[in-house]
Amino acid sequence: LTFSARRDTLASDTKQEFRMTDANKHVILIVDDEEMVTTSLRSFLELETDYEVVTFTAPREALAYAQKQSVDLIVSDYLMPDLDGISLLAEIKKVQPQATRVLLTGYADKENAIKAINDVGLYQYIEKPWENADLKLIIQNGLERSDLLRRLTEKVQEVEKAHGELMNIQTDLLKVFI
Amino acid sequence: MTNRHSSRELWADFKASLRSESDPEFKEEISLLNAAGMRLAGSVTIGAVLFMMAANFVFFGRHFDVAGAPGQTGVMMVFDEVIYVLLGLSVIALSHVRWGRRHGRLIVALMLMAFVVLIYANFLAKGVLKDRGDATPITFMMLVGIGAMPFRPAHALALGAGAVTLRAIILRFGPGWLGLPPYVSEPQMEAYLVMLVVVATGISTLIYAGRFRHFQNHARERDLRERIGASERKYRALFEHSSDGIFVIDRSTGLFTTVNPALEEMLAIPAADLYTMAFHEVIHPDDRERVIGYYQARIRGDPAPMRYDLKLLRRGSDQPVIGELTIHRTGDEGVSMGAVRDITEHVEADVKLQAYAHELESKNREIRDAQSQLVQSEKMASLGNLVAGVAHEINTPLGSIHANADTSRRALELLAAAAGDPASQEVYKRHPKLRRAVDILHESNATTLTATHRIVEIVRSLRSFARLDEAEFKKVDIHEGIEGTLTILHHELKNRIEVKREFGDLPEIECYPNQMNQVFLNLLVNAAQAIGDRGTITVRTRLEEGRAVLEFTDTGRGIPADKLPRIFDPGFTTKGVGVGTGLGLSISYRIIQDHGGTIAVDSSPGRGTTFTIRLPVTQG
Repeated sequence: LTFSARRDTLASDTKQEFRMTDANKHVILIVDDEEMVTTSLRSFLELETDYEVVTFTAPREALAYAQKQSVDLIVSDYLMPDLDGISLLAEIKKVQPQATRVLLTGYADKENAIKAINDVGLYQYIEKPWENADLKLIIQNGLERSDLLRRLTEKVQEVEKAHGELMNIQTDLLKVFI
Repeated sequence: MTNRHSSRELWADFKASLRSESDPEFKEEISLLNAAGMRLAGSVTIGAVLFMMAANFVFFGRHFDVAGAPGQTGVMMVFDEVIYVLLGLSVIALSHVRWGRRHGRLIVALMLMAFVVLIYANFLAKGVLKDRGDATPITFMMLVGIGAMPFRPAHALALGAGAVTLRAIILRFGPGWLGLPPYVSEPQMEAYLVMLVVVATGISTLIYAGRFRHFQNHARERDLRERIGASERKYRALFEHSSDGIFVIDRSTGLFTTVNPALEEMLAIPAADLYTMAFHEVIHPDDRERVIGYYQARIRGDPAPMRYDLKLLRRGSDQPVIGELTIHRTGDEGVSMGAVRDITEHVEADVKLQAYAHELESKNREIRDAQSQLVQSEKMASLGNLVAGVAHEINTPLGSIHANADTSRRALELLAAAAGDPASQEVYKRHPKLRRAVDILHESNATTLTATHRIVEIVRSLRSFARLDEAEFKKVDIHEGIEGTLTILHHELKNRIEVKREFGDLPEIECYPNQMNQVFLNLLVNAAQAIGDRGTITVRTRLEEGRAVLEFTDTGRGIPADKLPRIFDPGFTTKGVGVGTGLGLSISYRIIQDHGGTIAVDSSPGRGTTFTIRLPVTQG
């Protein structure tokens, strides 16, 4: 059962947007102030992939969403009202560092692109107009990276947990002997 | 008539002589004549005494004492003769003494008087003045002496008349009247005396007049010579010191016969060499025919300019002297005389002035051009901004369309796959047009994809063409720039013009990419416009001696040779009002120049044009 949040159609209660996701389904967040772009991207991704696609035309709402829900990959436009793409990605990085960040822009400005890559650890930079095939590949690779990161985090936690258990056992043993 | 004429002339000369007495040369002349006269008088006196003594012996057989007394002997017998001879010698001696005319005349007169007195005193002393002839020789001497002297004729006449009168008085009243012994003259002796006086006076007068005339002629001649000399000196000075070259040539040979120093200096040829040269030899070959034509026309009397400019050869110099010449025949002496003024400096100054004016004009034009180029580059810059902005604005919807078309294609592929499923055969059977609809969608979607792909390319080209990175040189692939420009021009070229690419291996070139693209655009647009109907544009690139060489060749109508040198001039256009600004090539030229490169054109009407750009690979 998939139920995607269509921010543009659900004007009032987006903050309470609820998503039932499969644990193994990747969540992709798409932000662009132009609805046609978000629509095009979602159409393509829904046709070609099984990802959970969430789209926003207002960057602040997208940020609010990301602060509550886990996302695996974010594709953002650069020039947007209220909040530009780089700032948005920087903010999301703070709450979901493992999510892969992609900038999709029609503004041919390499300087900003480089700045973005350095500032927010941008994974990829795509120029409009884009090729669907390229985009798909980037997203696939980006998700793989996210998964690896997540798995690494899990392993680290497991190791830490085991370490903590070991410490407890050690404490218990010490108590026994002393 | 001749006599009267000559006597009248003589009289005029006498009168003139009165006015000429102050002339020192004439005084000198007369003084010499006086001396000669005195010598003559002295000689005549001596000769006369000796003659009379000889005659006495011959006719009378004895010495007949001129004034002697009978019975006297010895020295006393010839005492008078001795005195007369002494008198003559004295006069001769005196003639050698140089006195002033007036003083000399006075002294001679006084001396003669003194002798007369001496002789009479001698007679009185002897007391023997008796019969005759005593005074005759004395008077004779006196008259001859006076008459022979070239006094002024009037004075001589007066003196002669005085002497004759004195003689007549003595004869009339007798010597006794003066307390002298009586004297009887012989009539024939009187006649001789008168005749001698007249002859002597006449001779004196003629001598005087002749001398004076001679002197006057001489003086006139001298005066004339002096005047001619002065005049010649004047003209010679003009000739010698003139800054214009003056010359005389022999009309039959054309050889120089006279040249002045200015001409020598002007042509740097010494006079000695010039005299072996003909006039035409010093004229510059360019002008020779014309000048000789004028000269001959003037000699013949045909109309020809009086004064004209010509180039003259200067020895040892490549630069001709520019002269202004006047030349004309002189009288009938077979020569022509000319003057030439060196106007090289004027001409040079003129040329310089013109050059300055030209320079000023071209500077002015440069400023105007720079202005218009500035305006044009401002326009281009704004256009660049506009293009960049538009490209950005287009990219978003374009991205969407492009992506949608791709998505549709993918979706239709799914549908097509579904159509092959036996389960859906029933549906397709029920709706026969369904398959066809899917096909149509597929086709139109493919067209949309192609179309959007084209737009994507155009926008990409526009964006790269109008890059806003003018501030610094960038290393770019020149081929990319050419391709981008060709894409922009696609609609101009398609179906009409074939573009051949003969790209060689080029490294990345350091340049202002957008400016370089502008050059490509200008050249390609020109090439496209030069091709009237169908044709080929060939773009060749290669690396040559470390420089990138880009050639744009079209098969258009070409540029006429007379327009070729101006095609890089701003404002120059062959395309007509409204088609070209006339700035494209001049801007291109400047851009290539700014890159340290060169742009050259090779064109022939009807065959086409090739623009060749040479660019350094790196700037620095």
